Amino acid sequence: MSKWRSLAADRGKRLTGTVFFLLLGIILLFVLHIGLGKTVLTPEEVLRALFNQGAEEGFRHIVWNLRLPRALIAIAAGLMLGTAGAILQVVMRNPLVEPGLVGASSGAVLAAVLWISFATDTLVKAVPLTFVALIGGLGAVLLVNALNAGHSGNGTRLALIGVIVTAILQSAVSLFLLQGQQGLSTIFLWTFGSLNGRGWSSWAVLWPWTVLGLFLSMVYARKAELLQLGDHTATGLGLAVNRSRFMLLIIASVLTAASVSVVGAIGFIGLIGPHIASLLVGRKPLFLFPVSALFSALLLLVSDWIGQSVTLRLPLPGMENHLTGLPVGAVTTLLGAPFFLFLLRRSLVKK
Amino acid sequence: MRAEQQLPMIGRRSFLLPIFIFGSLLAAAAIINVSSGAPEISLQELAGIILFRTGSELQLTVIWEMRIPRIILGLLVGMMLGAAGTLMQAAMNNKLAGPELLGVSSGASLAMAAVTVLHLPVAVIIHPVIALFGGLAGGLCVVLSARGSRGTAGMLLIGMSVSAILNGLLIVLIALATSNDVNLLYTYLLGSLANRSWEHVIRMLPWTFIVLPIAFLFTRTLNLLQLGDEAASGLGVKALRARILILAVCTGLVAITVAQCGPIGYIALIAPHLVRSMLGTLDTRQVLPLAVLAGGVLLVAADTVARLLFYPLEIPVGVWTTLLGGGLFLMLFVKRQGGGKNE
Repeated sequence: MSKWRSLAADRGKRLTGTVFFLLLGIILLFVLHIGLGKTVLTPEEVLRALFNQGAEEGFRHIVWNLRLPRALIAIAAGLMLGTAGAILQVVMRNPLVEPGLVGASSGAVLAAVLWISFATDTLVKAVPLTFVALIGGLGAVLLVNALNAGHSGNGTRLALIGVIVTAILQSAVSLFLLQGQQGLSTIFLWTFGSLNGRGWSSWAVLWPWTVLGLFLSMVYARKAELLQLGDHTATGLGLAVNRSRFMLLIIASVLTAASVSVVGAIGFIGLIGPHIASLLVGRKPLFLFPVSALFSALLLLVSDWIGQSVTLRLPLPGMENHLTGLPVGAVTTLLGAPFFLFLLRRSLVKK
Repeated sequence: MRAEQQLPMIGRRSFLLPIFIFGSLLAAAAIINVSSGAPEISLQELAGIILFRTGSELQLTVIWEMRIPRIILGLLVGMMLGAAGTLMQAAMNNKLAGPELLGVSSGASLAMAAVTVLHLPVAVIIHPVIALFGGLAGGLCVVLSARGSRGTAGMLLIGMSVSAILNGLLIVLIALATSNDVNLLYTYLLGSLANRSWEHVIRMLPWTFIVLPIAFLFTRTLNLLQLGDEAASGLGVKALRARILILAVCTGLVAITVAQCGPIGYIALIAPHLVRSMLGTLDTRQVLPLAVLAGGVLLVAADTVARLLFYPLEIPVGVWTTLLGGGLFLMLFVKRQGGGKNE
């Protein structure tokens, strides 16, 4: 008993340390991220502008109106996708799962695009986009689950079905966007996810959902822990298994849908976070969820920072004048897909 | 065992019926495709234009210079895709394999995108070769990363994640491009047959005539490979070498189509399935020619839909094939695994 207690205390210490370092990293990158752009600011200038300590008016404008909201949205989206990924992995008991791979993101995108293209103006004003996206995301998740019914032990099968459903939904999105004669930037924004041009208005939409979603996920973390023990044990311990699982799926869908309706379907972010988090603090959801969220936020900031530096700094002959920013989704895919490949190989070859 | 018993039987069901079905479908799709649009052309006029070259200047130009080459190109591309799908599925003994799921298409399109964006000084005639190298590299990545893993789903997933990586690189390229290139690139990447002329057909033809017959040389080997590696090597086939050779031919077929009209998904996957279930046989000697035909017909039909459903707006045909073919694939996958035939 005492051994368990000391182990728990150990875990607690590790959790504090991990969270501390992750927060430190996020703050550091936050400053760096704000400093990066067409006008490069030093960290000192950024801090001065942020805290109104005698910075130039121009810098202050850039930081407060352009870069701060973008960085904040990156952090919020990272937190949400990281938590959603962790929840999905725990609930589906499958290490290969993340919001973009079970159809949640693309379902949400499809619903959002359909809503924007076809709903009447009054209807668009009456119902927030996030609700619509939520219905789409949840629908897609349930569809993927239903197609995998009877094979719940088979992780690769679920992942494959998820990937194919995602491909189909994505081409439906392209179809409707092309039909609505949307520009390319819009299509990229939706299908790959991008932070380009996100401002305070997007932040205003996003943050209530972030708070709500993260709060709910922590409330349900304990039930998720019981679910991890297996359905029989969980039922024995007095948990309404199906209801809890469904609630957790809804929470994950809420988190995904809210972030997707603001930044598009950023892929693979929710995959890496939970794995690193479980290496750092173990698989207990109460610890796993927040650490995964923080790590994903850090990762998204890094990805966006990389994406911006690539397009700003990489000199290529004949294209110094282009203004297109690299969508952050491309960077996260390049980071996440090899990771997915690694996980996949590990699970396939070991068997 | 089942496959072995079926091998000597030539045609459990008649050859003629499928050919008739595909032929009439092709004719219907082609006639609709040629006659609809602006200007609209009635059937009598159409017959006159095609057979006797009568009709106004405008009609002649539209039909002969725009719509007919498009159909022919669609037919050629579809045929090659159908052959590629049959070869791939038989060689890997995996009825769910297809170039879009194994990194070949995305490798080829990445290579083509690199040529477009970086303005590499490459003659148009060499484009298929560039695409071929891209496709080979993509396929090689998948084969290498899949080494040692087992199971259909695993292989496909590995292919998909390699494709995802290649697509990520593609987006990086696109972000680096000027907006003019990007628009060009995007319709290309969705897979489209729009704005094709005789020039494209002529560029495509020599490749078709070289590579497509090569595919037919492998039918016997493919039949043996379908029996499983052990049986095949017992019958004198060097399984590994044959498979690599066949996959290279496949990649060639796919790369040529990608160079001309972008990655058009799921035609290669669906055509052989359709033919196998129609003929009720696995014998590649019968399946391959019909799958070639079926691929062509499917693509021409899909292109007709793409061109006319939202007329005057055209949705790239690749979007449609992914939508419909992807759905069909999902159905096949769920049904197959549900039936417990796999593994």
